[in-house]
Amino acid sequence: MSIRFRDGSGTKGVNLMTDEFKLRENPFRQAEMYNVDRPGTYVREMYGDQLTEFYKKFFLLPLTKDTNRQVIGAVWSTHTGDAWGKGFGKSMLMAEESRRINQDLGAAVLARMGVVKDDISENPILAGYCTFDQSKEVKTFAAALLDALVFVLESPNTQFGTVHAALRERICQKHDAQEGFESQCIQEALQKQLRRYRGLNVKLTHRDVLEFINHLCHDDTETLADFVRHQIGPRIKATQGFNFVHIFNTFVYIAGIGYIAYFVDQIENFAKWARNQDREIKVLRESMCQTSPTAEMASFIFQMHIRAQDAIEDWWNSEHLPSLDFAKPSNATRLIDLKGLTTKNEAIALVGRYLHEYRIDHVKPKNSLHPFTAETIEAVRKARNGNPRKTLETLGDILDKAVLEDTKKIDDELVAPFLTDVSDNREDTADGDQLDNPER
Amino acid sequence: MGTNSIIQNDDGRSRQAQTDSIPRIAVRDLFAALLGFENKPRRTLEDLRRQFCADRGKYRGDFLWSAARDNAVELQRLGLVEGGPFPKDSRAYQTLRDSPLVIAARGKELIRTFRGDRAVGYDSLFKAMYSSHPYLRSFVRLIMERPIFVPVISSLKEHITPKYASANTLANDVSKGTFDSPALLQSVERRISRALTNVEQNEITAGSTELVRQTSMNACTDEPREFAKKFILKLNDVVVPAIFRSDRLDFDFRTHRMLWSLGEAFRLWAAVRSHPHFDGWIIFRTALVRSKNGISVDELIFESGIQRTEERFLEKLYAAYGKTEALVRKSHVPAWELRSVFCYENHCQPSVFNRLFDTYRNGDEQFELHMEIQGQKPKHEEVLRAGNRNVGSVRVVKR
Repeated sequence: MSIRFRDGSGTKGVNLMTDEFKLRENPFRQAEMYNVDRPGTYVREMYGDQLTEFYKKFFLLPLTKDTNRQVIGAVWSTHTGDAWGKGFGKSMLMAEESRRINQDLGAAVLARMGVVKDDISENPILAGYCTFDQSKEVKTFAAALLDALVFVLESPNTQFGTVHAALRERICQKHDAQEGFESQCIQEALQKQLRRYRGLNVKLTHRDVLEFINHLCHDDTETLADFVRHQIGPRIKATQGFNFVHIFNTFVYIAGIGYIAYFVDQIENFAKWARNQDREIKVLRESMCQTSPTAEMASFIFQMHIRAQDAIEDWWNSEHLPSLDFAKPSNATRLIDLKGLTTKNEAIALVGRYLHEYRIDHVKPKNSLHPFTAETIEAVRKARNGNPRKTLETLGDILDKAVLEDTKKIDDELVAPFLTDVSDNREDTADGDQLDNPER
Repeated sequence: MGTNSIIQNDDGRSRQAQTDSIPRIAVRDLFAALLGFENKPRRTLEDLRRQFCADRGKYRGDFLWSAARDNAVELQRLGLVEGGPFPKDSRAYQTLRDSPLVIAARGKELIRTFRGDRAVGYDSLFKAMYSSHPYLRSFVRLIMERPIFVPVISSLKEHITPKYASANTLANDVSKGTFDSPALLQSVERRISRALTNVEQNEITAGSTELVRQTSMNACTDEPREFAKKFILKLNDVVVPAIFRSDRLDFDFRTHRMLWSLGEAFRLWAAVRSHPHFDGWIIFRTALVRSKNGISVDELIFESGIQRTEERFLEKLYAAYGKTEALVRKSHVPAWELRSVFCYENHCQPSVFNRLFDTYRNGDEQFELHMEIQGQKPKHEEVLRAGNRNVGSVRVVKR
């Protein structure tokens, strides 16, 4: 619980947040970065039409095909002047939409996109999210995708509790599993299906593989997640990680799910930290495009920005993987390019939701944006070039300043210093690259 | 300004040496800071800091305050701006951040020169730094005589002893107050291909013993790999000055590194790590610095610049390839090793090689280049690119 102050204690200003602004606390974090365990406020409206584009390209278009469903695509933010393209909500979009899909195996989303009712139940879908993470030693595609696998299995499902439970239930129904022998039935069905893939050279008697299959077929999701996260060693993850992914995809397939999308975040970390990138990309290509059932039913969508593209393109092209370059019009069907907050209304929707979630219960503010005005929000959006993260962080800084200075009204005078940042001080940066000593 | 101190020669006699402080700056930043005075003759340290932040796209807190301070100090030392006093730490920076810096007549002159011809501007700045920095003069004197090989320690296993392949073993030893100094001496002798003198041996042994004494507590408390990294850095400060003391380059390792990068910025010398014949850094001149009195530069002669290097480039590349192939015993030689050999043989800057390699990547009627895409990154140097691709290995053949 956060601290409070007595009236007249000399620090009365600190209670401005509750007394005047009608907020439990500052809703905006100082570093608005996506954290899968603490996702924070997710506002789909801020993506505008790009949310529809996201679903059309990565889910609807593949589902219009019977056999060749795989998409190798990317979520970009190519915002002008920002080569890193950070803070545009790519991670949040990929992870939170995956969670939504997994809640009902995509039923609500497909219904919203106009798919006929019978086809919705015939075409359940799943989505997983993972990220390269230097601090957790996730440096290979295989290790990252194992995280995606756990993400899917643990995702909440409205009908069965978790996706893992939902998948088990579907397999049991399909194979008429006898009560009390469900795990055995699932395991037999899985082993049988795995043997059908001649190109899938997985040693099914390998200790970790065997244990993974056991946990996957058993009903204890927590133990399964714990096994994948903590008991499969880093070397096995790096060298055999894709085998687990193929087994999982087979498990998904026998549950009657014909399509799964994997979203892979922070790909630039792979380029920066991974050793033997050429080998890694080769393994990725073989596993992604040349191994069943993954090649038919799984899509791989990578988070990209200009620097990530620069870092991986050589290896990518050398393995003949489909180009992820946003500049090529021919790639447009597989890429979406997030533009950030392009309109005042998108910014207001985003900020309004944050404020709403932090309002004190049963207290009605002057308006939904209080203590800000729509004009203030628009001014900050423009000053931060429509970058959602920077917009939210700046609004958080403004709120903190108001509290520290005991200023009840957030007016132009208070906001003005936040609209001119050193980042705007470009005239000082003399001549850019024209400073280097020329070759003689 | 230099100060004087007494140091021991090989023969045991003492001599007076001038000490110096080579600024931890990038020459590009120095020009950027100076050009900022063009439209605003009076600036502050904070202006400089904000400018560097904007350049790098990072803006938090007092980030880069020391870069602003170091650049301002150097500009003042060279007589290009007037200002000061300058802060010693970040707390003092908060007090002095708004103290004024005013462009001096020499600063205005250098801006005019730079605007007229960037290369001449860089040369003028080098001449000013040469006159102001005794260490730079000592370094130039030696590099004009011969290439310098520096056995920088970057691996416990390869550059000290295989016993220290694990950082834990080193941390254990140091925590007990022991260190394998004989192995270090042996490794240094092997790398520099000569026996160490008694003075050098004594200095390295005494230095490493003192280092072990100072760091034994950290060896117990720090994470072993982190400890090993710091220990290696400090060990370089023991070994490198000891080896170069007789050449009067007895300054710390960081100063050596700064001098290497200054030479690259001024296109006067180059430092490479990937030459397969040398197990360490080799620094060689890429231009001639002429000075009659040893205090001021009379002339800079770029005798192996881009035009000269471009003449019969593929023929020279083929010759360098032959040498590299003989050393590494592979038909496809690592691209950055080939670059090191080429630059060393032809006294040219790696950037010159990069540009010419890209231009001539398709070969000609006499020579053909086979390239493989880069699989692994070079450990110490930037990658070689040709036609927007990172090149991993190269084979040069005569048609």
